[in-house]
Amino acid sequence: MLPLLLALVLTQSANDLYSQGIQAGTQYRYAYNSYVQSKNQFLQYRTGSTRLTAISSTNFVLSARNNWQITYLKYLRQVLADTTNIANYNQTVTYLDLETEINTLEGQKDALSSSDSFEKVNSASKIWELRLTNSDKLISTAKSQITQARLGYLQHRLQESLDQFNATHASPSANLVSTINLIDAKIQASSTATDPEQSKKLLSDGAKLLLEIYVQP
Amino acid sequence: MYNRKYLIIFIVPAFLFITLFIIMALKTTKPQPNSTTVLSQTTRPTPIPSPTFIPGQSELQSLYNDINNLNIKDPLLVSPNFDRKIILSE
Repeated sequence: MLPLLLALVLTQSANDLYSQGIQAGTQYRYAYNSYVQSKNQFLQYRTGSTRLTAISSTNFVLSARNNWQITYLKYLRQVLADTTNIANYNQTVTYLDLETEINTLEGQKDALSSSDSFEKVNSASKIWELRLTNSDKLISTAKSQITQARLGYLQHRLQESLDQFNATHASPSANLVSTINLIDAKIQASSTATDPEQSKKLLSDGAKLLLEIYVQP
Repeated sequence: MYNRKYLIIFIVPAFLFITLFIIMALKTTKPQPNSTTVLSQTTRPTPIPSPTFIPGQSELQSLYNDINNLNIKDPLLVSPNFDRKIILSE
């Protein structure tokens, strides 16, 4: 019972994580401007002081970038959980992979903020950037699963609306029957379509047709 | 002698003032709109006829909007667009 309560307290809502992501983005942009400015000042003056400022600003921007990515991955993980309910094996794998990625990035926090030379700063940045390929794949997979789940939910809602329409029209005309069949065919085709854009288009067409026959006298 | 003077100067104007105040208060008190008749005659708006209302239509319109608003490429609508190559050069 106690771990469950603790988990409920610690779990953040998607809205909270979205706000944190916006805030992390703002902090990054501030840090990035400072980094660009101090880097240029070092290249111009090449003094010990500007060198130290450049290193410190780069540490700051690397930390801010890492923090933004972590916040985004947490938001993505929460939206994935809310949208799909982690109902199948693939979604569970993606959720756990996101968890691992977040932990890995959190483990790099110290290294990204404590470099005291150009070499160390560049090395920390490069190690972090090498992970981006992995992160990108993971983000793409999670987004795709979220889209699929949302399309499935919309398809379910459209099917329900069509069923409701059928229930209220006991003896439809031949013209109406052919439209109903066409809508039904579009819903079925959207569930088997491999391209999400095509699936969305089919659902949109189906909903439009249903709206048209809804308003007919 | 003092009592009579006191009566004329203070008590009589005070009495007159209170009387005037009560009369004014009674005049300005309006009847409360507690009867349905008053409401129906004065403030109740005439219902606008809506012959095109169909049950479930607004839900369907909302569903149609939800489908069209779905962003396939980025369902979260936000992605961090940071510099992917941060480097310090000598």
